[in-house]
Amino acid sequence: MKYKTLLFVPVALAIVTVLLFAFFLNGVSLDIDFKGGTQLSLESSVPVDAASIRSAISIYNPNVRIARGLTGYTVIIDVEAGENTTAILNDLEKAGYSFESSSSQTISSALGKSFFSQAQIALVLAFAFMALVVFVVFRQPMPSLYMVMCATADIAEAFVFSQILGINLSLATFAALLLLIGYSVDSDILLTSRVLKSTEGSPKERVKGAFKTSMTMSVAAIGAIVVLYLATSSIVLHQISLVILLGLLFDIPNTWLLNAPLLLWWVERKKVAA
Amino acid sequence: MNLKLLKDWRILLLISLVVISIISIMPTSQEGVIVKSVSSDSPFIGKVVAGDRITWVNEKTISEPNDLYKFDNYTGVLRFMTNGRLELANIERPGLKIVVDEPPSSRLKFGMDLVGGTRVLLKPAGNISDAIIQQIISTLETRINVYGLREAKFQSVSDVEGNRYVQIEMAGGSKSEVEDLLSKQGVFEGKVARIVELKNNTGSFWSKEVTYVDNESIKIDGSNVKLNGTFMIDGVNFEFMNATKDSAVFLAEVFKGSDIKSVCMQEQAGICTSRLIEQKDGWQFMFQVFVSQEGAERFAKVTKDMKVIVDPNSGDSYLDGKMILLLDNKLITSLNIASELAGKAYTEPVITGFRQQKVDAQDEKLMLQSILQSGALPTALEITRIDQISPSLGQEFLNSAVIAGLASVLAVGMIVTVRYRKWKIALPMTLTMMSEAIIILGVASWINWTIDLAAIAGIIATVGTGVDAQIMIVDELRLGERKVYTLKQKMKKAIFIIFTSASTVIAAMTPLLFIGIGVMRGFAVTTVLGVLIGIGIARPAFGKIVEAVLEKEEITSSA
Repeated sequence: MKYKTLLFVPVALAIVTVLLFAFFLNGVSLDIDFKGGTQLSLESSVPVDAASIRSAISIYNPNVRIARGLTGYTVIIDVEAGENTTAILNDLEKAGYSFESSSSQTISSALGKSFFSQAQIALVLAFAFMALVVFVVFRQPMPSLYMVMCATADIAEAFVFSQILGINLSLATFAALLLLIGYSVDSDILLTSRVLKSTEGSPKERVKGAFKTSMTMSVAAIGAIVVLYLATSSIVLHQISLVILLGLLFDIPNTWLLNAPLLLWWVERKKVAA
Repeated sequence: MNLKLLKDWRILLLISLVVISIISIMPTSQEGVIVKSVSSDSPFIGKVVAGDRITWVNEKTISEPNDLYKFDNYTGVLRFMTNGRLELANIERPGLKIVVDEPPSSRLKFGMDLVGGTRVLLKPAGNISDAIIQQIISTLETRINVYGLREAKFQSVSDVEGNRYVQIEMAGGSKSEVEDLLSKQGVFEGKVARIVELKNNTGSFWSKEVTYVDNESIKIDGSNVKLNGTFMIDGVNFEFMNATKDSAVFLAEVFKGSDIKSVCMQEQAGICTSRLIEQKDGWQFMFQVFVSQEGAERFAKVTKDMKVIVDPNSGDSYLDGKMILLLDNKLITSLNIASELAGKAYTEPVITGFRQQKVDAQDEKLMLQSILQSGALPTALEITRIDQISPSLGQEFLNSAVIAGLASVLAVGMIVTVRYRKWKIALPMTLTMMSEAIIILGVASWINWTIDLAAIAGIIATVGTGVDAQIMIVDELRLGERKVYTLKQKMKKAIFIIFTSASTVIAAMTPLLFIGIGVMRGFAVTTVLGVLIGIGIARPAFGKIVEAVLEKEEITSSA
């Protein structure tokens, strides 16, 4: 029963995730989409320093980030919804900065809160729908439960680690998490249908076959996402690709060290019972 | 290439859909310029509308906006070709007052986050009916048109919780302009101050007895009125402003928003006033508004018994109370009333203001004109969201998304080539992936779906899930050296897995269709659409190709 010891890795990962969430993160960091506020995006063709921008407009209590693009840099400044963006731009200009263009987004805190409560409902529904599809298709409670468990671990781990990497939860990252719900369960579907719906070889051999296919899928997807991340300057695409990348990475241990051993164990128990 | 493969309906369907998609994405023609907007006082009004194409003016071919703008100083009869039809416009005063743009480089409609512009989400206060939403939209449309912002698109939207909003997208406008223009309810009031002299704490106004109580209250005909309290005499509403032992000041309500019949937008000598005047330390703006007969009669009634005072410096004579004009309870103008207007039906008050910078005076004037012309909104509006994307940032987004998309496809192509070491599998896989993206764009252009950043993320996500499904097909079909299953049986298994995984993606995306007032709807719709195109069109065709490749291999290996 050596494969059962593999369970240690995903279980440890899950425990670390829970601990990180409980002790390291100070609540969920939300982007302006979900808490309201103003976000300014300023384009610069020359490198800029976030700290000096922060000090130039410190009276607005800003949060400053710099994103590198293909042709230049984008400075992202988050302030409260009520702040005057023209005044901030004037102050930056007085401090000697010049930007090619400026864009801004403002969301009232009431609207942000409403988005957030809707998002929470959407998350629950997306999970419930996905689980429903899995249970209806496979009609086997335990294997289905393992798949849903694995998807839950993927999403939770991708979410917590993205928060630790400083990616706020926004509508974009939230959409990425929902996509992960459908995406990460792919490898589990492949694994489970190979093991349960095939008669070729032993269950362990079938897991090996599924592993090879699934790793090809993961490597292709990870390759595409890494390229997407590197080739884009859009903050939105950056955030989406990072969250999906984390999910794809966590999916590997969760599928092959959590779902696969549990499924093999279940098959064995069934055989013994029969 | 196996020609038999080309006769398979699945492959034919995929190829023809790709071709149709490419055709429907490509622009109709690059000729001429496209009309973006026409001002209401343009010589082109009634002859062209936004979206029309102008190809030719006065025997000169128009191939870029400047070709047309060259005629900005032209007067006389202008012959022009629009949508293949010859039209004439008689230009009396120079100025085309039309905005045109180069023809789009594709038939795809791009979202504001990719082409730049301003998007505002307004939340009306209180419970709102459809009729009120329509009234809000038409009032704001007037405001925006009068103010001169281009290409504003209005939409009534609601979220899953039942909150209703008005969404406006426009090509330009600064944040402060848009905020001022859209968030002001626009309740206009014109009031005249009446000063009542008191002796021994009493006086009389319109045959009512006025008694001083203290600085914050008075008695009118025996009944108490507190500071800022209102009362009515003779059909006129008054507000009690302040009182001393010697006098009390009332504000008579003379004009209301509904009294404004029209606003002078452009100075016309002898007809109406609308101008900027340079002064020592800045600029004064002034424009006339024309009020209804009812309002004018109220003015006559309120002013008929006012005292005349003479300015010792200029010698001008005024009435003893000023006229004040308010917008949303904020003072915009306070005017002296010329003595000869007392008791007259005054229909054209002048609104004035002062700003240090000329451009500020101009903007403020236009803002007030637009709001007064459009009238008050039926309810106050709150700006709950305002996004402003510069065109260059949008362009950068689009470019980087396209480059990133292509690079991702290449990366995947390389990875599958390394894994399968067979170009006969890797090439169809890469091509199918690209054709999926093309078909999604094609469908988007058929259904007039707006491609925004979220939709691009959706396309990339779909292509990603598509590759996964194709890898599953290849591996399912190649699996099993012992040949327990036929290719057809293997295909069935592959299809089972693919359908299950597609169903989970669709299941997870469905809730997104309903949240956040459609912000992320683009992402969900494109992903679901892409997954459906994938399982319905791309996957069957790809499966057929792999089947053919593997069949041939089996034949050669068994021979």
